[in-house]
Amino acid sequence: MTRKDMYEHAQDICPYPDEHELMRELMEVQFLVIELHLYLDTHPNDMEALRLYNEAAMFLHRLMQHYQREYGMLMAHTPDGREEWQWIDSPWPWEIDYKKL
Amino acid sequence: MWVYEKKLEYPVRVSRTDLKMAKYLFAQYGGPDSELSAAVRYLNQRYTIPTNRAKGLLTDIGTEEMAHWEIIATLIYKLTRGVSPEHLEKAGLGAHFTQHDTALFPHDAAGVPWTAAYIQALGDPIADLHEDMAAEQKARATYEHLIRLSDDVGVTDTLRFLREREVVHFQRFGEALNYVHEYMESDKCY
Repeated sequence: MTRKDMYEHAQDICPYPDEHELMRELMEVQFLVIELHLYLDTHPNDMEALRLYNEAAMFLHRLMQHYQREYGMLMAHTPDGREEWQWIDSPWPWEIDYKKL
Repeated sequence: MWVYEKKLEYPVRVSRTDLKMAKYLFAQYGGPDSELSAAVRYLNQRYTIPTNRAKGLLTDIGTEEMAHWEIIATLIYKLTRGVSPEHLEKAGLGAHFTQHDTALFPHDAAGVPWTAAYIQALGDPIADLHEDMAAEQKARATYEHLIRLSDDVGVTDTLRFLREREVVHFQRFGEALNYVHEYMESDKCY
């Protein structure tokens, strides 16, 4: 597989070839999930909000899976069939250079 | 139980070392209206709140406050990297250096350590939710003071996010309070 092929293959999996772009998208979608979650706590019968929550949570799940497969662990206890223990790898959240995001 | 996610809720972009700002930010790390006070207050009150909506909200907002406490810690950590004791001393952090070096410690902007006396749990749902709404407004006002003191666009951006969250939490607690009122009315026997 050439480098170009690999790049195109990665694009097929997900349209975020760059770690920082993917993290940015992940943080945005997670924020949407958090916001809808709190809203649903006090509006449990709002079916439109619940539909949006379900969609956003599914999207977040996919982004998390993709990030963890490509760039390392964000959560422990996920069944990703790990071959090395990346949990303790740098950077930790307070060490990340967020200016790249 | 809780499970950690190895990422922040919102990015922290800091352009340069700023010890004065770091000192002021301790208000939200270990001050009376800090993110720490908020997290402990809500996660402690939830056991005796009567409605499921309020139990959910106190659990979820309490959890989000822990993520905000981590954001404040990250701001202070990034603003104080690689500085000398002399610079810390000049910025009014000499006492902090003496006792903590550049480690974090939950005290307020003036160095007063965090205490549980900052928070309350009456076990009365109306009183407790009013306390929570007041806490959100006090934190919102503190963020506005911090934003006025900040001249770093990255720091200001993160503080604006945190300020917005106080406004949303206030709104949600108000809705939970209305529902508790309804619940208590429906429970009365005449």
